[in-house]
Amino acid sequence: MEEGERALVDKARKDAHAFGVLYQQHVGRIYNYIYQRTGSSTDAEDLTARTFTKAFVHLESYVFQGVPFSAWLYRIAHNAVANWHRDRHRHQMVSLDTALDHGVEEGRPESLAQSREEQGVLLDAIRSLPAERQQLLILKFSEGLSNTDIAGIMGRTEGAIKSLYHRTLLALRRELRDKAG
Amino acid sequence: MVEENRVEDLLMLHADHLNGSGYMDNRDELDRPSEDELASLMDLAVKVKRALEVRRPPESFTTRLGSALTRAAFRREDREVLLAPTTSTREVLVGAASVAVAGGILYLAHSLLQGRARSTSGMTT
Repeated sequence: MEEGERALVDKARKDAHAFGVLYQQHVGRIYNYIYQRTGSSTDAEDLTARTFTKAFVHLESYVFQGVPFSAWLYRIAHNAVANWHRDRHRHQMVSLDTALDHGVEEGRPESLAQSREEQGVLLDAIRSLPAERQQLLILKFSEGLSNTDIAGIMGRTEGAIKSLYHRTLLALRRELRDKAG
Repeated sequence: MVEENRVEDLLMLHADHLNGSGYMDNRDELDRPSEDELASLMDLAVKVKRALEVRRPPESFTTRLGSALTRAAFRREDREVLLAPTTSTREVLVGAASVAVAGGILYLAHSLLQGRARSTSGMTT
């Protein structure tokens, strides 16, 4: 963790303004991560709020472990999404965003509708991967993070990240082929 | 046959390239993948990159949540200020304790002196 970030986190334990700065620095990425995992903007807002509320409550007990502060936030978000998946299984709800993303695209050129449909299938396949593989793809492609940062966030070595990336692409391709029949 | 580690390296270089970072010395090799396998995975990576388009939260949401959290942080700050003993309170407590201890010592000394005086006068009479 950079010294500047560490100092800010220390300050944020007692100082409301510093906590506000920390929030502004991370809210966009955490929301994006949750959105990519859930596919619903309503749920992404709800879970982002839960993530930061939990971070606020537990900030005093946060311990520096030589990784970026965002690693801690991603872990809270990751758990929030896991709980959301568990509850969702119980209620079997379909989000409006998913329905819209995958629904009939009236008034669109056919090719665009087809590409949107393909993208919907791909997103479904990504979301059916184990959580850590989804996390890797989101951090790499949606957030554009370096392997060093991803390794820090996921608590692995860079070599392990490379290997996981390869295995993730293989699993995703297999999943898509299975879906295509 | 491309070695397993080499495949991992090439795929990651390709991913960095999709992110617009990390110029590749072996770009030529990526442009002409030695195996269909590699080309197929890179093609999939391009689609994944496109599908995972960044979604940022609505401004109204970040402002609302930010305000709520900052208010809570201010309340916590206020509570800690109220609960934490201030310097002046500490000084008053230390001062009072010192006075009490000094008073006790004086009282003890006075009692001892009086007792001795009484016993001395008793012996003389």
